[in-house]
Amino acid sequence: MGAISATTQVQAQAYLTELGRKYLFQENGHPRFVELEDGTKIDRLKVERFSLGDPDVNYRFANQLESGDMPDLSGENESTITGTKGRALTSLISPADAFLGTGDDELEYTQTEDNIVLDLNKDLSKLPTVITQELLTLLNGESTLESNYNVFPKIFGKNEIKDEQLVINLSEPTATTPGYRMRIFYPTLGEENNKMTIQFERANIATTSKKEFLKVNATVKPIDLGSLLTNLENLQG
Amino acid sequence: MKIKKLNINPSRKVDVGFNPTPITQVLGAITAPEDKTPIQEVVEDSNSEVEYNDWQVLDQFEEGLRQALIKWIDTTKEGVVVKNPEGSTRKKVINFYFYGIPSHDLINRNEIGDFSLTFKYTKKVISPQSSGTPTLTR
Repeated sequence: MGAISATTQVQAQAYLTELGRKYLFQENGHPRFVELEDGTKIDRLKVERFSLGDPDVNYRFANQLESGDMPDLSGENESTITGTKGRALTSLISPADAFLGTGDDELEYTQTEDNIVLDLNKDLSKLPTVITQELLTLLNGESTLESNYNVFPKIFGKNEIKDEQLVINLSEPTATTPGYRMRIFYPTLGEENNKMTIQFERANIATTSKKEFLKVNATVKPIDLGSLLTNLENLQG
Repeated sequence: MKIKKLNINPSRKVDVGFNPTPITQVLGAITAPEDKTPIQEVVEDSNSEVEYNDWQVLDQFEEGLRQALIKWIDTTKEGVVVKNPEGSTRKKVINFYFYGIPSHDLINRNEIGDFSLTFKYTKKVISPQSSGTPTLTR
């Protein structure tokens, strides 16, 4: 393949197959638009696949083309044919309008909070302990629900994401002082499919018997503990 | 007999004043999340002693957390505490990148979302001593 040394645009020519041309001109027996039994309408000329080729041409050839010109390769005179070998060309035409668009929808990823800054010199009452970040997909400008997002990094230092959560311990709790940590929830499936949550947590060490541990936590925070009750029943059973 | 330390983990909270963005169209199949148990580390012996960290989401920022974050800022990702950190303003940044369901094999640069999470603090200037120069402290 040749290299385009200095341009921001790409020119391409499309060649239709014989069958494609039949659909284009809607030759008898080759209608362009058809309707399937389920009512789906199909445009047979819709370009869904294409291939790139290298015609092995002189890549400097395009430098001699200007809009409105075309290579004068018709006729039988020798002077018309020799024009292709770097000689002066006349009557040239340039496919100037054949700039390729992407052909894709306009896709943009954004989020509700731009860059989150926690200035620890601020008044503590003004610092958040929970931050909800919503990841958004804009498809042609419309907010679009995606079933899942890939978020990176999944490792930060020695901390590795587990169960879609990145827990960064800031200080371990001791018998006399509380511990602190930052827990970052990555998007999951379902309702939290596009939400990231950064929340700060504090812990104190507590000691109890396992029986009391299960009992207390099953009664005090049944919502947070989810299916612990089921586990408790299984253990007791 | 003491057993290994357990964690009691609170559930995910939602920021105060958070309003979800209205969605007008859907890409891909939306699947319900798996039902996960916050505590799956359950011991067998009901008479054993349990030591656990009772983690709770903070309702308000507090000084202990601020100090812990400052120490974290001055600690490298490898866990090395930076002694005598330079500069009056110190910060640590986590850059996040994300994308949804790729519609093609190659993801263009402009098709990746990004945002950063920055923690920073500026050392406070202590009033100069009568004979000394101003000093910086956390």
